[in-house]
Amino acid sequence: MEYTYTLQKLMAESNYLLAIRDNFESLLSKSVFSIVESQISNDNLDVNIKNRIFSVVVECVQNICSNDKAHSTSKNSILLLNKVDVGHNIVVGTKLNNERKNRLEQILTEISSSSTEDLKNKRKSIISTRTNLEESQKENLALIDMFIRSAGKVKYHFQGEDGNDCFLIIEIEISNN
Amino acid sequence: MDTSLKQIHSIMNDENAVLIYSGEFNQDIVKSMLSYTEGKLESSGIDDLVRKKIFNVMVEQLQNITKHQYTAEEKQVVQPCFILIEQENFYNLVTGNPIHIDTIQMVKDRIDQVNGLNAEELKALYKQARLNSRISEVGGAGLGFIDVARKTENKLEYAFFDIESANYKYFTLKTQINKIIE
Repeated sequence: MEYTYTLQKLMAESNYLLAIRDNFESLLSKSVFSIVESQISNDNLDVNIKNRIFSVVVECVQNICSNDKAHSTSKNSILLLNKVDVGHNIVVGTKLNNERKNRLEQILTEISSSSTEDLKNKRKSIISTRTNLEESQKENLALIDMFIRSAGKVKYHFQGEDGNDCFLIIEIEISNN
Repeated sequence: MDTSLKQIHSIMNDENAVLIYSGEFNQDIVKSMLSYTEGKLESSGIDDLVRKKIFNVMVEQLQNITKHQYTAEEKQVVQPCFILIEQENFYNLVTGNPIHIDTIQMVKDRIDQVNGLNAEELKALYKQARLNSRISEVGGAGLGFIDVARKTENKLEYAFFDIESANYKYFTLKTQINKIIE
């Protein structure tokens, strides 16, 4: 039972409001959005900031967390929301196989070295050239969107590379200004 | 990555926790957490009766959190929290909240009492408590514990932790609801 008190302390120390570990299938995603919505609706935040937070959470849940179709019953993804001095942090983590890891690493490296203007153009080009997006393009768009909405305040790293699997953590900061 | 995040993730994995909420409990938050749990249970395809049980117990536990709040003059040193744990054969609903030291013995006695009774005895105690219908100062928690014990058909686990407060401790309550009714 001590873990309850420890978790509460850890959550309080870094102002984490919410932590969800799941496979984020569509039925649960709706409820996740509803929890996040009620969390941020109580804050005295500008509606544009609330929209930014909400949109990033949607991208995280729909395109990063729920992409593990092969293990749809396992709880391989996490989503955390915390309040920081400058705004809110959204943290998303998901288990990846090597193929997806290589793909996302390449996309993230490319995006993180691009300017906001370049990213906006890239987003336009992906949307305008395709009607049905492939999984990798959806991921690409989601990550571009996170970088644009957070003005580039995205940190990521891959941890625990173990054989064929590793865990990707992405932290997105949405500033109140 | 900050160390708290690593630790939270690691504890969630170790304990099979699927949802942790820590902070103020208001009506909207309670509603959305109930909705999340409802969705989760629906997608798990578990028996309607079990679903109903889990839902009712969760309502009871979340109500208890809101009843045991700090008084306005107390500095908030800890936050209430709710944890949903999914194991292969059962769910655990875990709540943590500050509790005034004056009510600890009463809460402890109530839980020990319900933990010591069998189903028939719990039923009788519940009837008697409803007839007396005397709402305790902390909001009728006694009746709530009997109700939770009856619905879960498992013992209630609890603990009190010292916190940086002269008047409060941190009370954790864990209930277990089996996925299959025998």
